[in-house]
This record gives sequence, C-alpha cells and structure tokens, in this order.
Amino acid sequence: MSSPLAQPDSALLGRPRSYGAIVWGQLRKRPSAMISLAIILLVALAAMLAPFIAGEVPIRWVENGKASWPIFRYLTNAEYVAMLAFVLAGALPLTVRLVRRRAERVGASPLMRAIAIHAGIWIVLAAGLLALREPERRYGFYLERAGEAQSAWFPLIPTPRYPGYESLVHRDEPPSWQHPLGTGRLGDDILLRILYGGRTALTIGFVAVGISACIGVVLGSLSGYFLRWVDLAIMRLAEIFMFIPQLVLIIIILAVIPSSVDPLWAVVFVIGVTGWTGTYRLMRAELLRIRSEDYMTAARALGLPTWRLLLRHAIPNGLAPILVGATFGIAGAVFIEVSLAFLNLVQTPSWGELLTDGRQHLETWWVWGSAGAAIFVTVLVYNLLGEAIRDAIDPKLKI
Amino acid sequence: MKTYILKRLLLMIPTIVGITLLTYLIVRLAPGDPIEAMIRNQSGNIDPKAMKEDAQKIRERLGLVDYHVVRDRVFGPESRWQEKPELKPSGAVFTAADVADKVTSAVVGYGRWVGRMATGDFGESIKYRTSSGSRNPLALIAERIPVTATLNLIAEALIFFTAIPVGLAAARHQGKWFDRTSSFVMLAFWSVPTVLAGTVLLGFLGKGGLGWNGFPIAGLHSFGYEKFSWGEYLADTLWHSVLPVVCLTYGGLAYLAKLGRASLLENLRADYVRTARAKGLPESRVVYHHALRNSLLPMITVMVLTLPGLIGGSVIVETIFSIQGTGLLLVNAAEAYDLALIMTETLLYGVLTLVFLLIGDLLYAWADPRVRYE
Amino acid sequence: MRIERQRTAALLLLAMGLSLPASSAAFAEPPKFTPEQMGGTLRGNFNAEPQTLNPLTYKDVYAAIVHDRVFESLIERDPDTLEFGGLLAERWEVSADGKVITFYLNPKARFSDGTPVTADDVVFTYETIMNPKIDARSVASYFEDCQGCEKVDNLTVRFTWKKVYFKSLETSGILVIPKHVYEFKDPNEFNEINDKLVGSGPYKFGEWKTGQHLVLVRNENYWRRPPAIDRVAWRFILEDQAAVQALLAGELDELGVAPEWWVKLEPRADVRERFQMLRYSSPGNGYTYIGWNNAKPLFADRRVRLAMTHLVWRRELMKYLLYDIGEVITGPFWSKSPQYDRTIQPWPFSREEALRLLKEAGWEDRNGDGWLENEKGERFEFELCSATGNPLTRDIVRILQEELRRVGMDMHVRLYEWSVFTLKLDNHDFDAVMLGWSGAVEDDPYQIWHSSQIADRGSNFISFRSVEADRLIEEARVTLDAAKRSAIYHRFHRLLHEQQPYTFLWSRESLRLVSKRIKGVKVHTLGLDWRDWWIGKDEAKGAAAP
Repeated sequence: MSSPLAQPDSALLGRPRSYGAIVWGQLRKRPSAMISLAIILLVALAAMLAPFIAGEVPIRWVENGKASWPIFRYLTNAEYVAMLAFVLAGALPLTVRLVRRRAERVGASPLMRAIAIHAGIWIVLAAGLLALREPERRYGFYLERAGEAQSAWFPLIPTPRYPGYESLVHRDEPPSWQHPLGTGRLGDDILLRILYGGRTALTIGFVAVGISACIGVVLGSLSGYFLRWVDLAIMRLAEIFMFIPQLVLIIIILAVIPSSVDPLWAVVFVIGVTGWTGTYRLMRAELLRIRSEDYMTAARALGLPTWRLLLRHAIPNGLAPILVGATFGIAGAVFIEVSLAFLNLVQTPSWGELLTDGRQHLETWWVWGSAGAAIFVTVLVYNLLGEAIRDAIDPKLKI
Repeated sequence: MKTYILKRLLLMIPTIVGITLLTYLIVRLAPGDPIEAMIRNQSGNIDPKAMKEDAQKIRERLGLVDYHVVRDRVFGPESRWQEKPELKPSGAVFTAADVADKVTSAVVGYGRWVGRMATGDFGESIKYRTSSGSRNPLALIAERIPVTATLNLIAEALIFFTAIPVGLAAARHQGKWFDRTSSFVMLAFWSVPTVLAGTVLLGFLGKGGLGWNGFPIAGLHSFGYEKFSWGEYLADTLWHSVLPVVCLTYGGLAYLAKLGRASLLENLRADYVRTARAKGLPESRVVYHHALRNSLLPMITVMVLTLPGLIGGSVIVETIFSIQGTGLLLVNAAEAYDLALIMTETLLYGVLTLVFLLIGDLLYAWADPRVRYE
Repeated sequence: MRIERQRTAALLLLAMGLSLPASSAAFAEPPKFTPEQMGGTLRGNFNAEPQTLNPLTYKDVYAAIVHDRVFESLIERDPDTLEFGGLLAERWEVSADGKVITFYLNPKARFSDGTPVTADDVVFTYETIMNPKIDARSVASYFEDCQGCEKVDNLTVRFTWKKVYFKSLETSGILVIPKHVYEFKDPNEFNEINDKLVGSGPYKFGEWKTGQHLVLVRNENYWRRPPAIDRVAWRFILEDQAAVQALLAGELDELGVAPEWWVKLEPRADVRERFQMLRYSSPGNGYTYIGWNNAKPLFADRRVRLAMTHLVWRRELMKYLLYDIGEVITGPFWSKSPQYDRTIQPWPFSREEALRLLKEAGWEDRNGDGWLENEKGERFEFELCSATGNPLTRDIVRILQEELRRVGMDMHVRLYEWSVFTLKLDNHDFDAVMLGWSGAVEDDPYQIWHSSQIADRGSNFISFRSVEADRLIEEARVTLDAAKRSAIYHRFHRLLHEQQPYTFLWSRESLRLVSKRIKGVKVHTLGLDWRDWWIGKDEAKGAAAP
C-alpha cells in the first residue's frame, strides 16, 4: 500500500513504530527501569527454580548403577505450568518473527497473535498436566541415604524441605556455608523460606493485580464509553469499594470464603476483588479522552460493532497508564500481604509470615532481616519500574 | 453551583446505602458463630446448654436473629428443599431453604438496622466497652479518636512541612544529584514495610532495647501522668509520640514530595513564569511567590482528601506501640464480626470520606477559577 | 483462693485419720507487717484490657486476677498443702450424707466500706448467679445440682445439694459480693456493671484508664492483716517484646514471660542481679493435647491412636520448642495434684513400635508407593486442624506433618479461625484437633470424658466412649474421701493411658520475673502468693517515678 508520494517520507522516517514499541524504547534508555526489570526477572526465576536451589530432592541420583532424576518427579504440576509459561514467554520473539508477514498483511498485530498462540499452547499443556499427572509426594529419604548413592547432585543448598525432629537441633543458627541466611526457630533454612515465600509474594502480586486490573479495565471502559446511567451506576459501585477500608473489607471477606478453598487463593481473590477502583478510575479517564478521538469517530462511521470498537481500538490505547497502576499495585499487594500476615490471616509460607515470626526476636537478625530485605527490595523495584514506565509514557519526558 | 452540590449530596445516598448494605450482608452471612465463640473463649469449659441459651439472649439483644420465613412460607415443610441437612463444616448453610433464610434474615436485619440507626440507636458492641462501661459503638470510637487523630495530625503536618521543601529543592535542581538522590531516597522510604520500621525503631531505640535506650516503649503517657503539670504532660505525650509518628510519617513523605515536585515543575514551565522572568523579577520571587503558591494547590487538595483517614488508625503501629487507637478497634471488630461496631465505623468513614471529597472538589473549584462545575 | 502457711487444723485432721474435712477452721493469721515494710506500688502488665470487671458475668483471665485481690470467698486453699481452710467462713460443717454444707461466717469479716459480711450477702450472691437473666451461666452450671442456699441466721448460711458430689464444698465456697452495693431491680443493670468493685478483699478499686492502666489501692478497712503494698497497677502493653523492654527499663516490677524470652534473659548476669527468676507449675496452665476423633473409622482403633502417640516425639518438641519448660504428661489432671498417677510413664517415641501397631491394625505400605494403605487400598490420610493465631501450634503441626509423611501418612493441616473452628468441634466435623484445656487443683473429668457429654455439643467432642470410664467418673463424683477418690482417678488415668483417646502432649510451667525490689516472694505448690510481698519505704520512693 505504498504510493510514490509516501515513499520519500518513509525512507526518511523509517518504519512506523507502534505505541508499545515507543514506550519500550524509552524504557530501554532508563537504567532504573532496566535494573528493576532485571531484578524482577531474577527474583521470579529464583522463586520458580527454588527446588533446584535449596531442597532435599537431588537433581540426579545414581544408585546401583542406575541413574535417575528424582527432582522432576517431585516437581508439582503448578511448578511445571509456571516453567512452561516462562519458556513460552521467552520464545515469543521467535513466534512474532514467524507470524509477522501474515499478520501485517491482515492488519493485525503480530505480537497479539503470537501471544494468543502461545497462550493456547500453554492452556492445552497445562490442562493436560493437571488432568493426567500426580506429582510424587512421599518422603524420599535422599538426604539420609546420600552415602548410599554412587553419585548425587543435590540442589545448591541441601536441606530438608520441611522441618522435622532432626531439624530442631539446628534452630536459630546464624548464617553459615550450609545455611547462607541462617536457620529459623525450627531449624529450617531461611533462604529456602525466602525463595518459596517469593512464590507467594509473586502469586499474590501478579494474580491479585491481574484480577483487579481486569475488573477495573472492563468496568472503566464501560463506564467511560457509555456514560450516563451506566457510568452513574458503576461509579457508585466503585465508591462503595473505595470507601470501605480495604483491610477491614479483606478481613471480613476472608471469613466468608468457605474453608475448603486454599487459603492462598482466598487471599489472592480477596485482594484482587477489593483493589480494582484505582484501575477503574484511570481507565474511565482514558476512555473519556479516547472516545472523542478522530480514529474512534472514523471507526464508528465505518459501522464497526461496539464491542470491536472497545476491544480492538479503545482499550489497547488506554492501557498505558493501567500498566503504571498495575506495577504500583503489585508493590501494594505485597504490602497488604505483610499486613495480613501481621494479623495472622495468612497460612501459606510467605515473607510476611517470616517477618511477623522473627520480629520479636531482634537478635536473630537473619530471620527478620532477610524477610524485611526481600520485601523492601521487591517493593522498591516495582515502584522504580512503575515510575519509569510513567516517565516513559510521558511525551514531555522523552529521552 | 448549588445544584451541583445538591446533586452530589443526593448521589451520596445510594453509595452510603451500598456501602452499609454490602458490609452488613457480608458480616451476617459469614460462617461461624462469633457470639458463641466469644463466650466459649471467655469462660473456658462451660455447659453447652447454658452457652446456647446465653448466646441466643445476646443475639436477640443485638438483633441478630435468623428468620425462618422463607423456609416456612415459601418452601413449606414437605418440600424437597427441606431435606434433612447433613452437618456441614462451615455450618452456615445446608439447603436452599437455609440459604434463602439467611439472606432474608440479613436483608431484614439490614432494614431494622437502618430503622434503629435513624433513631440514633447504633446497637451494641459484642466485644468492647468503653472505660465507663458503655457498649455504644459511637462512644467507643469517640473514646479512641483523640489518640488516633492527634498522632495522625502530627504525622500529616510533618509530612506536609517536610515534603514541600524537599519537593521544592528537587524541582529547582531538576536532573541534578539532589533531585535524583532525594527521589530514590523517598522511594526507598516508601518501600519499607511499617512492620519492619516499627519493630526496628522500638527494638533499637526504645528503652530496654538493644541500642540507645531513649524512647518510651508503650502508650502515650508515662505512669503517674495525672500528677504532671501542663507543660510536663505535653512534653511527655510528645516524647511518647515520636516513634509512632515517625512510623506513620515516613511512608507518606514520598508520595507528597513527588507530587510537590511534579506540580512545581509544571508551574515552572508555564507561561506566566516565563513572563515573570522576562519581566526581570528575581528568581526567588518567581519561585516562592508565584510558582509555589500555585503548585501548593494540588497538594492541599490531596491533604484534604486524606483528612477522613485521620480517624482510621494504623493497626500495625498501634499494636507495636500499645496505643489504644481506632485502628486496633476496627480490625479486632472485623475479626470478631462485631456487627454494630463494624457498621458504625463503615457508616462514619463512608460519610466523612464522601463529604470531604466534595469539600476537596469545591476547594479546588474555588481556588482555580478555570474549573467549572455545572 | 490463696492463703498463708501451716495451720494446725489439717494436721489434726490427718491425725484423726479423716481426710474428709467434715468440719474445719480458718488458717491462722500471719504476723503483721512492720511499718518499714509498708508502702510502694507493684507494677504489672496485662497483654490486653479486661473486657469487663463485673464480678459474676463472663470474665477473662485479667479480670480474674483483679478479682482475686478485691473479692474473697468462703473458703480457700493452702498454697502448699492444698488443703481447704476457711476465709470468710471461720468454719463449716458437712452433714453425714454429704448433701448439706453449713458455713459459719467470721464475725470480723468486713467489706471495704466497713459493713460486715453477712449471710444475706452470700444468699444474694448465690441468687444472682442462679438468676437466668444474669450472664453468669458458666458459674451457674456448677450449681446445677444445688437445691438452694438459705440463711440460717445472720452469720450462718446453708447449701443443700441434690446429690453427693465431691466438688460441692469447693463450689459452695463462692466469692461473696455485698448485697447493698450490687442489688438491682433490672438484671441488665447488673450485667452492665463494668468497674464497680466493692469486696471484702485486701484491695479495692482505684481507677481504670482505658489504654493506660488499671490501679487497685489498699483497702484500709481490711478485716485481716493489711497487705504491705499500697497500690497495685497494671499497664496494657500488648506485645511481649515491648513488655520485656519495659521490665528491663525498670517500668514494670513483674512480668510473666514465654519460654523463648526466658532462655534469652535467664543466662544474663545483669538480669539475674535485678530480678528473681521464678519457674513453677500452676494448675491453671492446664495441658495441650491432640484429640483423635474416636468416632471416625480411622481413629476408632485403639492401636492406631497409640501408634500416633508413639510418633509424636514429645520430649524433643518440649526441649526445642518450649525449652523444657514444662513436662510431658500422660493424663488429664494437674501433674502435682493427687489425682495424677505419677507412676505412669509416657509412651516413648518409637517409629518401629508405631509401624508395628499400624501393621496389626491393617495399615502398611502394600504397594511400595511410600504410603500406608489398608486392605481396601485406601491411603492413610486425614486432616489435623486447629485455631489460627498461635505460632507454636502452627510450628508443631508442621513438624508433625513432615514426620508423618516420613512414615507414610498423609496428614493435611488446616488452621481455622476461632469461631469456625468451634463450629467444627461442635459438629464433630474433624479427624484430629490440636487444642488445650485449662486446669484446676482438682478436676472433675465428667464434662470432658463422660459419654453423656458427646451429644448436644458437649465437651466430649472426640466421642470417647467407655463403660468403664463412665463408671469410674460417676463413682469418683460421689466419693467424698479424698484418698479413695484419688485412687479411683488413678485407675481412670491408667485407662486413658491405655486407650489414648487423646495424645496428651504436655503441661507448661509458668515463668515469672519479679524485681528484687519486691521482697517476700516465695514459690508455693500453687504458685505465687502476692499477699506475702512487700516493698518497704525506701524502695517505694525510688519506684514512684515511672
């Protein structure tokens, strides 16, 4: 679709870049953003690969001439699903390149297509795993029998996954080579608790914020686009959620959730469902701005159905500030988890739990220090990233 | 303008109804029986029949009775919805009839609560009494507000008067080391969880702790404070407030300082500043007299919006420093499903927030003539 | 009910070979304090504010501590011999059939406003307790079998019981509140009473400032030896660490601490120099246990329950989690009470023995998958639940989970919020629970162990059923001779030990640091007796300032 007149322009300006690409380019130029992203990635990777870093199940075990890879039997389905997601996310650029030609011919975004394809693969594989595989859970006795093996590759820090009678002897030990972050009151390795606590933090952060972002985006676009009664009604709903103190609401809702639900998902659900109002307001403001833009008028004139208008044009253009809000939201979710752990409402091992446990015994500084540092670094990094994205979006601050 | 205010006030009503109804429903429909749990908790081994009777009495007094209207009228005794329920874990609902009953009771209960509240009866707290013995939720909250409000006011003032100079300096030296460093430091402050800050402060700076044993450990007054003179009393209270106030302040600094900086930068780039400079006005007058005044406006609006938060204390700070404030009261009420207290607090907080929101918007309109509300 | 030292009455009784106090007298009064010993303020701490100080309605442990100093009861126990002696009653008589108990009040007894303690007050107290509109049902339930309390004359009051019950005497010896102060027209008026405290005890109400402190002052009209300490004050420091810091900074005089603080403070020479480090067993501490739902098929088999006990290494847990501050117990009584059979040794920790028992009961790893199965191929799987809020419980339960996984049992752990948890207990909807009971000097196991208490949300929620146990409990209830009763309880204790309906874990010791500025502190069998404490004038001056 290039006319002779257009050619000189595009030769000068280069290929037109999408909004996302522009924002990403800006981010690349900010060191704070890159460092933050690197740390986030590192933490996520470490949390995901926790069994390889610290644990009792060896990676490779050779006994009587037979080699086996026990750790893979013990990895839970959730862990496999998470690793799969990681791998698929990392392979995105490849797929994008593959589908680029076809997608651009049709006028669709190659990135979206690639994401859709990967998401599909992920869901199918995940469902298959969950339906067909049951991970090994029995006690492996690997640490005790280490001498019997001809060769055993243990994780970096060989230590029992859960404390038992034997661990008790090692309680409250300061950091050492066997336990880089020391041990807690039950003799359990603190580094291990930090790694697995990272999972809780990330799950709460991403899933809760994911839930609240989805709710906020949907309600915000409906509110901002349709206005009048729709806006009035949804705005009232938002005010309700805004004006009940979130902590009180969380406590009460947590109590209502039936006890058969896993406590972690209960907390995630509750934080997600009570924290959407910020996103809602942002999305609504964006929609108010976008609805009067020229391309929207043009699309409407072309007779596009409303849902397509919203889904393919309005919402994607309004997502940038949402991204900022979501990033800050993740930091906020980690904070909320700490408060809930302080009130003894969290049952899954988490950083908040570690901090609450260790805070009254200041001499065992490695306990509360590790948890405090983990929380601090994570929250700081997400805040830095959020700020960087906000600056990246702002055209006045273009680098 | 008057119609606008009226419209806003009218719109508040459905919101308040929504807030209170949602809260009420959630608390009523929660599984578990808080009253029996409370009795059992307080009295240890008790005859179960006696406990059931007492719980029923208390329930009646608090208006928490379940109505079997739906089960009897709608479903009737022979309906299959009335199957003999198996004892389920949560004990809350067994059959559809029970669900309907519970919901009906909750809705009816809400109606009665509204009715009683209109006559000024806010119900009774299950768990708490004031020091004079009253169970009135309003009295309970009122008893604790002075403490919470004092601490919060001091903290807000500190935040405001620290954030402005920091934001100002950062804006004036934009891009240079002070700007970048202060920005990072503020963000770092914001990222420290209150639990950690409070624990470390108390443990290392409090009396009997590991570091400099200077600061008091608990409460807001020393033992025997009745005998103090006015000056001593004030000094004593302030001294006790230092650590808790620090905990309440450090987090809010970052947000307001950034806001101040951004606001000031925007003003410094504005045309009128350029004009003022072109006119030859000294830089200090340009900044302090013109730009600063205008950039204070969004900051003040934000502060006004945080005023309702003054009555809601921080449960973390209050627990760590043993301060009897509203934060602890409300969180404990939520955990104990103390209906009257939760409802009163929700209502109070909701109304205050909405009113202050309106005031904030009006303030903004009054200060900035460009803003118009129809 | 605390009192002073040796008296002759008990010796006489023993000499007469009668362990039933058919009639008894008050303990002799200790010598008065000297003027130099009088004075001072004793500063303690409560971890939470009392809900209410009403003397008869539901009370928490803090209110009970306060009432201990303000009110008195008809009889009390000697803190060392545990024998009963008269307090407000100078002596009493039990009829031959054991159903009628007559108390003769001490004519010298006075309330803090000077009015004498009379039979009218005792009857009023009793009637208020029994009034169904008063929220005093936990106390009232003890009087279920009491026919009535009547005034015989101004200083004599008589309790009549429907059945013989060894606890009748103890129950009848109620705390007495003055009628002229507490009488009411509307029962709710009484229920609402929050801080009106007028009693016959050595202290009276000073002031209660919410969030700050609660103060009692000496009752100048006290009819016995006035206490040495002028005032007793409690602050409300919510957290352990802050309270310990306050103690070390000199702002508190005494503090009860948890084991993890004890092990930090005890080795410190500077702490030992300033504080008396007291460690003692107290019946109120009760015991912790794991209750197996005897009605579920999994735990209906005694061998399985016994195997579970063999798998809980109580000594190790006690040593590392509680720093050995307490003892492993084998039965439901206070270990220092005559009810407890000290010859019974706890079942040892033994995985082999456990597996052997389980195999006998049909549970073994039949297919090499690492889990125990029965003949039907079902896995040994169950859920242990408890209430949230206690990190110690959480830790123990997690360790157990790992240890059982090792042996091939799949135990799930769930912590429930208290009100949901009590519902599960009432509905018997659990496999196993971890919980505790508080205790008394002499306990009646009826409420917890009798088969009649299984239904209707009784305390026998594990559904323990044993004809022999029922018989022993019933027999003991009507045995008034203490020695014979203890023998019956020993048999009951042994039965429980064999049957293992609970896995009894341990009972904990109390730990208290008391400043050396407080003198006269001694550890008795029952614990500490604050009546003996004194500070003295010189110390008093130094301590008045915070």
